[in-house]
Amino acid sequence: MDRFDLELRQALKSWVAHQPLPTSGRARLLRTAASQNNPADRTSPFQFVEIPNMLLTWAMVYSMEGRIGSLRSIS
Amino acid sequence: MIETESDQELILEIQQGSLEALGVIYDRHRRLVYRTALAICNDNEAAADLLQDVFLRLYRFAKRVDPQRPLEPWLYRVTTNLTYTWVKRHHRWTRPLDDIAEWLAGNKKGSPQQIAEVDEELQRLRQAVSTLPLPQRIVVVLYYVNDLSLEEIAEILVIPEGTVKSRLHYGRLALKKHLRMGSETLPELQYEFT
Repeated sequence: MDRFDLELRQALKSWVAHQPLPTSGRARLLRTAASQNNPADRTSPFQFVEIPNMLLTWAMVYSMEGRIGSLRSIS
Repeated sequence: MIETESDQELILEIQQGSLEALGVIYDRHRRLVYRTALAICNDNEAAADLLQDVFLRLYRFAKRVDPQRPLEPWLYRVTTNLTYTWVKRHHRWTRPLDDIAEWLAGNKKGSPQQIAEVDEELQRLRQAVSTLPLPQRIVVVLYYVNDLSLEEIAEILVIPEGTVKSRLHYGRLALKKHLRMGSETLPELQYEFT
């Protein structure tokens, strides 16, 4: 390791050492980790939003198919 | 006192779901994780998020962590992997070493001419590091910032030691070439440590 290496190391280390660590990182971490333990919090919004949407879509498809079927039977 | 427990004991407690143990491990290793992520991605906000992700993964996958082995290589591995993914996704590090230049600008001593020369050299250093391919940059950070040996870096990145040596060699060569220093060295810098 020559002088170039030493000075590069010093510059890089000095820089990162003087960057302030994030505040409230521990509280945020523990809050998120705790929520992962709680099954209610772990439930994805996907399950609340997407499933009713899927049901609605299917209902509309069946409804339309029924109408088409009834129109065909009339004609 | 849980603060005095070893990493091994804390990992075993985290495996049982202990948040307190997670908090202690976080306090103990957050500098290492944050500074490594920051040196690679050069984004404070992203490094803060990566810091969270690393310890959340430790909590989530604690049972996969072998308490008999040192924790630091695991932390380095997850940190570099997550930071690599982040940089690839964001194509960032567009402001490499800007903060070094800013910090030094506020701390250096010397004549105006010396200061101007140092600013110029730092500008070149900044550009040089930004040109390093990400795999080389990671090795350079682990080697220069974290003081890890080639063997340790190879273990962390799960690559042969020869590859680490090669990446470090070419990264270092690229830095020197970009800085047009040849066998010369960085300018004489005077740091004022706080």
